Amino acid sequence: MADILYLKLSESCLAEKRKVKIKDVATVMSQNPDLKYGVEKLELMNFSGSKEQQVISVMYILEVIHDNYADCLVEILGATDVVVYYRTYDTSDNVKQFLKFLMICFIAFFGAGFSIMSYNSDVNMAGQLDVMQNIFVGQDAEAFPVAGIAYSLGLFIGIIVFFNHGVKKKFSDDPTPLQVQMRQYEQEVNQTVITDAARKKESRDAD
Amino acid sequence: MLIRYTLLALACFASGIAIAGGYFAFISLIGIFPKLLEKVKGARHYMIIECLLAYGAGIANVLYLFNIPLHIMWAGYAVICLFGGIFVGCLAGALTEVLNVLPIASRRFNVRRNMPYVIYGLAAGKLVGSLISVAIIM
Repeated sequence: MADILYLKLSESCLAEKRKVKIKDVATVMSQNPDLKYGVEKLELMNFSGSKEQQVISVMYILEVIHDNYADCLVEILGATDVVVYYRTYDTSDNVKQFLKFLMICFIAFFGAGFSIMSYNSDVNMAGQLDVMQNIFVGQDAEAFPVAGIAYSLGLFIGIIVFFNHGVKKKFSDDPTPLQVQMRQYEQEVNQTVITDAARKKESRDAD
Repeated sequence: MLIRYTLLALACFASGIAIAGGYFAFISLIGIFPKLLEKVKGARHYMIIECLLAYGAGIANVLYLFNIPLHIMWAGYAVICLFGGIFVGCLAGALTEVLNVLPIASRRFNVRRNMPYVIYGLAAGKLVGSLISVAIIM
């Protein structure tokens, strides 16, 4: 009886070495440890440049496995295409990345401030708070800045609760909205790369 | 009087929370920062960015509402306005993207190949429009 081999492909992966093996892009499971070990070590491709990406189809992986182990049954689970990214690590790059990141930090800090100010003036927040003061306290009462302080406090607490963390500590185990968005964006990028490569016939597929 | 002030404070506090929720849901759903962070491969630093968003908005809100003077000279003012402008520009760009304006327009007018020039045109148009509106205000 032929051995059954289960193969679960990841959606994308970052290659650490130039040689990409099946172990890097997929999880392999089999009753036969020798087969599992052998398949994991099979080589899929070689990167030559310093910054590349390649889409590998599961058909190509099947082809490679069948070239080496002709009599095994392969069960595919998970994705059908995987994007392999390869980046060489360069220390001079680090400074540049850090400066860019600093720039994004500035945009986040000043941009959020700028846009909340423009929102406040857009909806005439100061006038709105005056109206609320008139409703709740009356016109001729002495004006304490209670409304402004409470609103500012509420705004700040609302943001913190929305993002679900203080400086270091998370309030609960849920991922934060930005984290969710980041993963979603990553998935969309992978899907685009896969479709693009298939259309340009650049993906590694079975012949 | 105290009860009235307590009521006022409660109402304003609650509206502050509601506005913060809505406003930041908008900013984070429109997805500016995932894209910017992806450019620098800094996705693991999302906590810092979220904190900066929170503190920037909180501080600027207080400064705006209470008219607190904060003299930081022309250079500082220019820097703040520059980054504010970049953020608003990203917001506008992301909004057109979310509303699928460009994909539809590019299909209608068959401009797929010259897409970069369309984007440059869009940005240049925004620059000119902003300059004109600022000139009118002045």
